[in-house]
Amino acid sequence: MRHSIFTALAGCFLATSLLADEPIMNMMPRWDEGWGYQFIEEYRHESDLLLGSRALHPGYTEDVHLLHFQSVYTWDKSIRLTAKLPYVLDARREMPDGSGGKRIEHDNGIGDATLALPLKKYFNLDGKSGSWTFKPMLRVPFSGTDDYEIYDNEWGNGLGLGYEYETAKFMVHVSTSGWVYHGNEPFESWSTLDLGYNFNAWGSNGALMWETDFHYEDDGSETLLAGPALYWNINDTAHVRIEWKHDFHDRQGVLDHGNGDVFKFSLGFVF
Amino acid sequence: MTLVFGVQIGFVNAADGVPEVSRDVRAKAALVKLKTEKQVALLYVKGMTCPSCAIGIRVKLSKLDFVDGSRFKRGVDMDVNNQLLTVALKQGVQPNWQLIDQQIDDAGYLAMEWFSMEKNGLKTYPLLKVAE
Repeated sequence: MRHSIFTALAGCFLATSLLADEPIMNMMPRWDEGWGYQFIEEYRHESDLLLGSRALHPGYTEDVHLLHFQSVYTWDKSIRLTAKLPYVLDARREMPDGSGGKRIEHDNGIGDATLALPLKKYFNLDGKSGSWTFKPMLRVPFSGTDDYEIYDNEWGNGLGLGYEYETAKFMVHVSTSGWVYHGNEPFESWSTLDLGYNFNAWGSNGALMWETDFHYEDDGSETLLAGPALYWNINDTAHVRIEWKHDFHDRQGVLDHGNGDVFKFSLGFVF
Repeated sequence: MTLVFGVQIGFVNAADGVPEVSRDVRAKAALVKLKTEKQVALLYVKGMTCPSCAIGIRVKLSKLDFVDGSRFKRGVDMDVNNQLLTVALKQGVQPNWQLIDQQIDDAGYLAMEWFSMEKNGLKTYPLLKVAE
């Protein structure tokens, strides 16, 4: 009985791996009829099983290895279409078995897709360029049934707002999004503040960023994660990005893993 | 259900504040460019501060038949510090400014003026869209 309660709680309220960023690296393609695709390899390690801010089961870990495929088409420079499809290469978590021991659960396979229609209003000023973004989104359930599920397997509607600008030296990106699901999942939001320093080297350009994300769920869960990211323009067509984020504050409204780190490696191509 | 859309950071604004470089500094950079590069079109593109965001300018202009794609990066050089765009031209060909202006607009930017080296020094000419 205790076993099934734990499983039901954790299974229903898993924090999903939602990516607030848009392909390609948030920046491209800004031009009419531009298109691109991007692969993101993501590895996440959570150190404890939390309830509230307390580690109810310290050392009960979760390791998630994902591959995201994302694509974008810029129909008009102010209208983009994006699609994101994650694939769970392997997910493993440790849960209490109800008799003082650990039970290992796994998940793999396709995740839930996200379709979005980012509408952009660009501005070009002397020494500064940027955009405002309004982004309706749709979550399409594709994930299956394993021991547990990283993705929620529910339809959802989302709305995103964003503002960003760049000068030759600095960049600022602020965005927030909210999701409402058609099933049992609670409302959730992601908010992001990215600050970056742009540089030129070896005949190309890159950016060194500090990114801060805040994730909130209506069941009382909240996570503040932050860390550095490095973007590099390889040859105008290929772009690479590496990032690491650490959970500086983690509170789970229901039993879930937390206190973790996320690593991402992205490779994008734009035409 | 509590609708929380997180933070809306207020310290950023889109006002056209202090320019990245002054008009004089840009003119000096343009003069140097025109002295060192031959058979080019040189423009001031407002907002061209991010080389990755502005890749579309290269994508669009490199398709024009009067652009010499063998020079620079596919025929286009971007100086984001001065917002100066240099387009390599094929030998003996005059640039079509209207077409260049349109392609830059399609790439999400605003071409303001183009530069020419003349007997009495540097001259700037507004592009059609600016003059309208």
